[in-house]
Amino acid sequence: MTSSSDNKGIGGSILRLEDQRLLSGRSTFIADIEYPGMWEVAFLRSPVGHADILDIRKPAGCENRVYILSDLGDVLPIRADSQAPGFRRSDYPALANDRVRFVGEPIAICLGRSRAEAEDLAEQIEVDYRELPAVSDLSQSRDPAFPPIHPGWTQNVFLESKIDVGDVESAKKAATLRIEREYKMNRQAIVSLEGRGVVTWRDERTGELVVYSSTQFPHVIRTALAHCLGMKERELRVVAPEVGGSFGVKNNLNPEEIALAALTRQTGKALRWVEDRREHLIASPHAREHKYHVVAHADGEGRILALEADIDVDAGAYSVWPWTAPMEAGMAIGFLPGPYAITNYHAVARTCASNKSPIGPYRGVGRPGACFAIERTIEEIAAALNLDPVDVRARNFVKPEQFPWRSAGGKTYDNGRYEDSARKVRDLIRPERLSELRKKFEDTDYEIGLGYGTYLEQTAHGTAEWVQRGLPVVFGYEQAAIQMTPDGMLIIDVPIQNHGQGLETTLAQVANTELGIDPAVVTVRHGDTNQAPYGMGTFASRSMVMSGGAVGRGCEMLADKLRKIGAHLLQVSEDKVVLRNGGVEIDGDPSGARATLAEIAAAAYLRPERLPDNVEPGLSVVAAYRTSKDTGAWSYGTHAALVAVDKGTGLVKILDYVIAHDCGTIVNPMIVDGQMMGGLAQGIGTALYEEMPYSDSGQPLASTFMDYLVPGACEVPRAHIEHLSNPSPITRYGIKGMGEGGAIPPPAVICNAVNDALRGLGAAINETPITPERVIGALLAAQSRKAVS
Amino acid sequence: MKPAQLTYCRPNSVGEAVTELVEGGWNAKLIAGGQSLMPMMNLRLVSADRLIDIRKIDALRIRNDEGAQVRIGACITHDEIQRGEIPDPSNGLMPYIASRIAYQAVRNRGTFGGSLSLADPAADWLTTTAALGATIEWEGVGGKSSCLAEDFVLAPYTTRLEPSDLLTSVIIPRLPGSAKWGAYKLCRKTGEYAHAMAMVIRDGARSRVFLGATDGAPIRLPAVETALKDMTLWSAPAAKTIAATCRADIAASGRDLSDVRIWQLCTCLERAIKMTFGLQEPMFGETSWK
Repeated sequence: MTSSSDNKGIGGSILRLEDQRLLSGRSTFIADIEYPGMWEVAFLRSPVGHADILDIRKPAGCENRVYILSDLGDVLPIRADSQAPGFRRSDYPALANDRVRFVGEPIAICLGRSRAEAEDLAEQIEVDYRELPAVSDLSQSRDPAFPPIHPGWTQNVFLESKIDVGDVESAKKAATLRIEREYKMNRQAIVSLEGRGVVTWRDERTGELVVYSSTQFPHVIRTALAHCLGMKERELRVVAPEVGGSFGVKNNLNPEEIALAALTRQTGKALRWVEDRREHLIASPHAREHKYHVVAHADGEGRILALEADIDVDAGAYSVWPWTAPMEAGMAIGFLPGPYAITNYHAVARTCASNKSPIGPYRGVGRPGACFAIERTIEEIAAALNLDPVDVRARNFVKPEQFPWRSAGGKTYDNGRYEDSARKVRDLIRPERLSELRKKFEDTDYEIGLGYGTYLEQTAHGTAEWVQRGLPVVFGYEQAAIQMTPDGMLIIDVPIQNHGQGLETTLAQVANTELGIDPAVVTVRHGDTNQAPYGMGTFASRSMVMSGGAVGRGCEMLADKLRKIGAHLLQVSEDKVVLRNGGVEIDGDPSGARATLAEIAAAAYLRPERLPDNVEPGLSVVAAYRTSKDTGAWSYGTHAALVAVDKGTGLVKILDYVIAHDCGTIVNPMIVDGQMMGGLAQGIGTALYEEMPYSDSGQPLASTFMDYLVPGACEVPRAHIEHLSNPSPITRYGIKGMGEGGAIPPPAVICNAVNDALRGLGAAINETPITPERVIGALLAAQSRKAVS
Repeated sequence: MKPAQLTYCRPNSVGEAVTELVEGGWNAKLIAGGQSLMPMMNLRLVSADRLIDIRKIDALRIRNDEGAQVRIGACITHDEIQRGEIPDPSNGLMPYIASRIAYQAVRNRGTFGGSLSLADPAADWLTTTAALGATIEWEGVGGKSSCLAEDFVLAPYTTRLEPSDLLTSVIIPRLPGSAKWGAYKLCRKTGEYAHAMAMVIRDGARSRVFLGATDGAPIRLPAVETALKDMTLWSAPAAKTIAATCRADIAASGRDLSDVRIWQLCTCLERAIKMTFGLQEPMFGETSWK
């Protein structure tokens, strides 16, 4: 692949085609969509964490503007069952009717001509609650003092799973070092720039119930809505308009989507709900909230001989569809061994329920927590043995010749040169600067530290992975419909959903590589079940591999036909021509004779008399693609941070941040840099700022941006990013996904650096976010330990 | 997040505003910059049946240099102070503080008097006016009244203002040219509310030292003020004295502050005092990859 400036295909850093409309504010998001007669929706949401609903009284005279579950007709609850044995089911109703299970759960739909009017109505509804004790902490989920959250449950645990690989007991005996630690990654909100939102109406011409939703996967939502509403898929049209960021929060079937669709079906009213920031913070699916108890047994050179772990995840009140509640804990237990050749592994993972908003996918899903736990542990091993943390990692990494590697967590890694990324990052961060910086800040409040973190990012998971996870839907492939227009340009319809990744650009680059067509004349359309063939959407770092594969495959099919027609127009046999530079040319012919794409397309559609006898008219194909092996393509990388910890305030300042990563073949290096920086910003959020605490009674304590801090421009340093590119053996073009990797290791890296800085003072911190209070708390604890000893 | 129905009025004088306040009773709210009130109303955490917009009242926009003091109207914005559009009695302290309040968008609309009246303990002006020995003036049905800024706050979000009172102006005594000031606040990120702050005017026997962003009114530190009286340079023994004195003053204040918060307040104080001696926090310079 070339990356020269004139390369507009795979490997070229071309400017994003979608940016002009986005940066000039001209695009159409949910809040920009209006329909004649449309009503604004406000939801009455539960103000209490756990209660039986005894009665709901609508304000007098407003009965046709306030709707509860029984007004919606036949609606099935969201049922996200895991196939894993022992899973406890939770039915998540579109509107709560007899029980509320978290603050923010929708109870009633209120309609107004303005949102304020709808909110006025919501304030007038009277609900009688009989409050129940709320499960607000992981320590309470198995406590019989708390009532079961769902009917028939014996304890508030969705699922407990175990892994027992190798011979942990024998390996422990051979070990000379035992490192035992507790780690906690606290609960976060997801905070996409645009919140969720839904607009619904009935299209009287087509008979379709039209659902516009700010979602990552419109086709899958159509399938789910059809099921919950008892409708046929052909009776529904789901459209995702411009989606203003998502990161997983719009990758679930929402009760709000079902509620609006059901109400429009029932009443014919056009409706719009635009989630506000407070709703987003308290009632959108949350993320993380992992707790780890880890024991690592190592030899004198830091090789991990055995790993034991006890993992708890607080998954909130309901199992989210289609991921299911145990996804987080399942990924945590599966990914804890990370890039290391650990062969003796014993672990238990519990998915606990609580009276909090459900946990859903968020950039990295499960892995930031697992990476935090294993990467903190490996640096603790290095510190205990006084060894370089990169050298200790190198001794433990799966080696290039060991691939495909079946991990102790049950995953199959395709390939990688993990050690290269760690050594590259060490070269770039220059650890030799540490002593110099420490000397410089010797008599100040600032302690300098350096931390590393290596991560794996399973991407483009295929059929086998999703079947193994026991999900209700299996996402093993992607489709694309490609049509050349009569003027020789291209329209690509894909069921994936661009929500900031630049996929319109990168898919056009794939078309350029296959057809030589200028990306500027390629239109990529997504987000509409009436346009694109069925497909799974954009999540799990899958779209470049899966949709890129489908577009590549479709363009290849089209190219075949273009060559046939072109050769016919040039009056030579097909084996004499090549497709390049936007036309068909005779290979090695100096005369410059060529048939342009426009001439070929005109023949295919408008002048069929010019076609050869054996070629059908038209230039459109639908192609499907899946990877050659379905275990996922594994991106990886190492990050390093140099930090200054302010002992006076507890603030952490990032002085330098370096990334060396490998996502196989890179389609657009500039877009990859952007994805890395965006992921890093969110990783810094996890590491230092973002936390959604709950009170004992189940009240969320960070319901506005005053209490819920996200990093801003001043808090995110510009990282140096180095690309290593070892193509995946299992994907078309060797592409690996990379949308999540930037967000996975920063909590581990920054926490490692902070601990490196504080180690000399006897202070340790193993919880995110690393707030000033936690840092000073750790220093105070170290002081009092010193005073005692 | 849209506000409930309300009546909006825009009086032309302080007297009219007070009349509106009296008529509106408990459900009347004054609005000037609206930078705190608007989000609270949108969240429906605050309801105001009657919203009284005082931005256009000329008397609240005064900026009078009265020689030994400057009188600043309640509706002067943070931005106007930051850009030096009012006479500065503080040797540069007030523009410095103003330029570090939240973000520029907030500074453009947020007002000096609004920030004081709301009395969020983390508000920069509560501690600044206390340190400067300012006097806060207001007007209500009972006529005009005033008190020292350090006596103005009774508890978080609670001041000496009665429901019908309107903060009109603040008198700032002019600092002598010899007075040095230092200010330091701990914010988790740029533009956030402070978690701790310290404000120091070092002027020999007239030194004034306050901690802010606590659990209520700014805390005056009399023993630290005494210790500063004869301090001529910053040194390790001086730091030790200040740390011990600060803790003693906090203990004597009777305030209920956590160990972590006390630690952070002491840091802010030390850094503010160092600033009065011309000592800046160390700079990290360009450490990043090039």
